[in-house]
Amino acid sequence: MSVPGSGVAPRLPGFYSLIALEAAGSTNDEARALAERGAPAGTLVWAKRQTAGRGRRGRPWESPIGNLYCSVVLRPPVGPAVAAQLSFVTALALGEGVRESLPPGSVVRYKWPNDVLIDGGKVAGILLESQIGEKGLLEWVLIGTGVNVASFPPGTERPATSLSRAGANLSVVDVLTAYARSFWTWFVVWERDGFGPVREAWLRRAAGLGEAIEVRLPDRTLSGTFDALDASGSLVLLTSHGRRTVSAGEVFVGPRAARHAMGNG
Amino acid sequence: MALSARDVIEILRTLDRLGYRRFRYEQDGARLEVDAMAGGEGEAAAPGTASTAGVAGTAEPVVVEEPAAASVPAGAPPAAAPPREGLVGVECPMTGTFYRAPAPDAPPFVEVGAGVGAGDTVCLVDVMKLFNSIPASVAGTVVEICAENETRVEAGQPLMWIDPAC
Repeated sequence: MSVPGSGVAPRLPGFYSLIALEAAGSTNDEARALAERGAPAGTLVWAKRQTAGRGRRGRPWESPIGNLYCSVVLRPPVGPAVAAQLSFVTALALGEGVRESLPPGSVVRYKWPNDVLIDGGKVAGILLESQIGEKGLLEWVLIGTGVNVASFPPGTERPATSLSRAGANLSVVDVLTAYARSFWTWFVVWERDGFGPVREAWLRRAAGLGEAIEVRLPDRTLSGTFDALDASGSLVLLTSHGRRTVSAGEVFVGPRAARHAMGNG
Repeated sequence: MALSARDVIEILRTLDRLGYRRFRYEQDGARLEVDAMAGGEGEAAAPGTASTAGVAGTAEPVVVEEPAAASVPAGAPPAAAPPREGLVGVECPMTGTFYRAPAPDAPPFVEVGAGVGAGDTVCLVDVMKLFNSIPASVAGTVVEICAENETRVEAGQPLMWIDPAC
């Protein structure tokens, strides 16, 4: 195994097979190519920088040196609706993995389903991609994670932050190690005990729970109160037109959502 | 056969893990019914809120009902009849948002009239930020795309029809 830059090897659980790269187009693309060639669960691609980093729907993800870019291959024997719970597993793993390194008083929150916020700023981007195989089960699922360790992009639609900005004195290797260990812990809990414990831990730090939020759907925006997370992970929203269960959409919390909560349905 | 408390807890855990919301099991006079949706339409149900009942009855095969959002096994009967004989559907595996292209400014994976190979990705469905590549189950020609881009699609609904004969 070669380790870019630092020469310090992350000490990871035996589950992982680390592939460390100086640069990649996108770690998810590298991991996808490996998964399609049969790479086992636990294959972990880490790049010092990305030249074509991307987020959801092909949005570019700025990927300078100093932040973490990694993707892991998993092969859980489940269908896509259940595998989607890995969104929560991943956010939880990252939040819990770095939380103890933050200064006292820092606030870690999870925004449905997989955004990690520190003191209100988005600190990471998580991109889950899967391939459906025969019998409706997944062939593989990739979890790509970009963590703002040293820097974050300015001028984003919603506030962003970095671990450095939030006061955590961590290197990229520190973050990779903490995240990978924490992910392994929560992934095992999810595989063994189901979504329940993950759901409970996520809800303890849920952003906007019990508050007015907005959910942007492809064709419209819903406003209401974030009431609960159902047993599958869908967001339960109380709107002026009744109870809605949302399985896909973009959530907005905070004053912007509160302003609109009384208007729309 | 009597189910012990431990058996019931194990079953509930397994159901939760698999994402099943409704389950009925009958054997040798014991019956176990779980309905995690109990409490009203659309009611959010936490794991562990399932109800159980043990009632004497005759032995019946195990019945497992898939939740609305669960995977639909390949080979299950399609939710809708094909527009004509011989077409093979691409079924939606779970409720989510349908995307025809990998990015808003990228060309669609397929258009009507396009030839596809078995296993080729023909669309994406997003559920809780998991983007699932949906493959064609057979080689052929796409003759109909049944869902609009970036709209909600339901588990089991046909997303496309493929003519394997051409």
